[in-house]
Amino acid sequence: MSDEPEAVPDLDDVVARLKARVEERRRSGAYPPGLEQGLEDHFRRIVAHRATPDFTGLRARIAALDERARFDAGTIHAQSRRPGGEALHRAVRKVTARQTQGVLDQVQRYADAMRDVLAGVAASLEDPVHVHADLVEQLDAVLERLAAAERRTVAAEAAVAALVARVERLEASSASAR
Amino acid sequence: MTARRFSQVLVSASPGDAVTNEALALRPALRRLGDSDIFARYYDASLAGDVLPLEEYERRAPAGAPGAADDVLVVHGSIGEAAVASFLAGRPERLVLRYHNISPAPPFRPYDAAFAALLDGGRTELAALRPRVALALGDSAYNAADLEDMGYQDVRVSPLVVDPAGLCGLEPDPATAQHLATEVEGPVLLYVGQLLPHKRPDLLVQAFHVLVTYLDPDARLILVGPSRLPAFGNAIQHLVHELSLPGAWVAGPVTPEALAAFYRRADAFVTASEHEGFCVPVLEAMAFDVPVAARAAGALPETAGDAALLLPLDGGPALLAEAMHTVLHDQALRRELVGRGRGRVRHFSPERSTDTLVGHLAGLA
Repeated sequence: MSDEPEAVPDLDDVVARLKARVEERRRSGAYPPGLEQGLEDHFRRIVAHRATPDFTGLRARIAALDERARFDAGTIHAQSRRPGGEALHRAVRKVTARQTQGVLDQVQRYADAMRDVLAGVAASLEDPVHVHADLVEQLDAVLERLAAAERRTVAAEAAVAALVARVERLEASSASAR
Repeated sequence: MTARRFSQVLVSASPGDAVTNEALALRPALRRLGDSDIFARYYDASLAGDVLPLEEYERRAPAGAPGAADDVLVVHGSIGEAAVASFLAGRPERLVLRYHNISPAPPFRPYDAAFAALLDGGRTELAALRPRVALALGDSAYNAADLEDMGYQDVRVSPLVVDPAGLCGLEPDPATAQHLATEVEGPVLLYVGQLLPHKRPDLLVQAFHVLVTYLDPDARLILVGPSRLPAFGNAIQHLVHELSLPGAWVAGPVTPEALAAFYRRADAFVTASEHEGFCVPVLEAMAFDVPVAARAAGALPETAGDAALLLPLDGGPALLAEAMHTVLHDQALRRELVGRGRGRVRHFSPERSTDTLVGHLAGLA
C-alpha cells in the first residue's frame, strides 16, 4: 500500500476528461457518425404518434359557430337612408314574414344538424380510440426493424472506413519500406 | 398582531410526495407557535385525519371571526387549482407562500393539454396572489428567482424540509430486495423520479444504450417512479424495447420500503432532468452512500453542491454514458462522492431546515 494521500478528484477536471473521451471516440470511429442524432430522431418518431393533439382551438371554433347558429327574422334590420324606405322595408317584412320564417326554419334545422355532425367529429377526434393502437404497435415493429437495419448499415460503414484506413496505412508503410 | 393559527394549505396531498412530507414535518414545529393543521383540496384517503378537506377550514375558522386577519396561512405552491385560488381570495389571513416550483407547461402540452393548462394557471394564480402575500419563501435559490420573475420581491430562501436519512431506516421490502439480489446482475444505475418529459428519461435510456453498446455491456438501468402521462410512459417503454435493452427496467411507482431496497442495490444514481426545483432523490441517494451523476439543471447544483458529478445541459447521450461509466467504475471518484454526499445530507438535516423555516414564520407571529 502506498502512503501517498489519494488525490482528491477535481470534478471540473473529471467532466473535461469525459468530454475529451467522447470526442476521441467520435474521432476514432468507435462511435458511429450521427449516433446521438439517430437516437434522438428515433425517440421523436416514437412520440410523434403518441402525443395528443390540442383540440382547444377546435372546441372554441365550434362554440363560436354555435353562438352564431341562432336565426331570427327580428334581427334583420329595416333601416333605410331613403325617405320612406324604412316603412317600405317594414311592409315587405310583414308581407313576406311567413316565407322568411320558412327559410329561416330550414336554415336553422340544417345548422342544428351540421352542429351535431361537427360535435360528433370533434368527439371522435378527441377519443383516444381514434389512434388505432394496433396500427401503432405494427408501425413500432416496422420502425424497430428499420432502426436495426440503419444501425447495421452505420456499423458496416464504420468497419469499411476502418479497413480503408488500415489499407492506406499499410500501403504507406510498404511504400516507405521500398 | 398576534397569530393564533398557522395553517397549511396544499392543492393535493399524497404519501411520499415531497411537498406533503414537508407539510407533515413542519406541523409539529408550527403547533409550538399556535394551532396548526393541514388542509388540501385533494388528498389520498390514507392521509385522512392527518390532512383535512379545504372546506373544513371555513368551518373551523370563519372568515369574519375576530382576529382571523392576524392568523397565518402557509400556502404550498406547486400547481394551479382554481378552487384553492378562489378560497385564498376570500380569506383575510396573512399569506405565506412556500414555493416549490411549478413545472414548465410546454413539455406537457403534446401529451396532456389540460394538465399543461393547470401548470400555466398555477403561475397566473401565483402572480395574482402577489399583493396578498406577506412573506414569500422559495425552497431553493432557483425557486426564489422563479418567484421574482413573477414579480415577487424580497423572496427568502429556506431549504425544503426533507429527511432522506429516514428512508435509510426503513426495512427494505423483502420481495424487492430478493429480486434485486438474485435476478439483477451487474452494476446498477438507478433513476428515481416521475417519468415526465422534463425529467428526460428518454435521454437516460439513450445514454444507457450507448453505455451497454460501447462501454459496459453488463450495466443495468432501473427507472423508479410513476408516470402521470400514460402516453409518455408508454413511449419510454417502447424506446427501451426498440433499442433492445434487456438491461433497462422501467419499474414504475413503488412503496417507500421497495424504494429503500432499490437504493440499497444501486451502484450509482443518475438523472438527466432538465428542470428541478430541488430534487429530493439526489439527497436520498447520497443518504444511501450512492454516488450521483446528473445534469446541472435548475436547483440541482444547489442541492447536490460539490457532491455529484454534474454535467453541462448541452451534453448528449454520449457524455452521459461516459459519466455513467466513470461513476460506476472510478473507485477514487466514487469514494469522494460518497464522502461529500454524507456532508450534503447533514447540510440538509430536517431539524436545521425546519428551524430555518419556522424562524421565518415566527417573524410573523
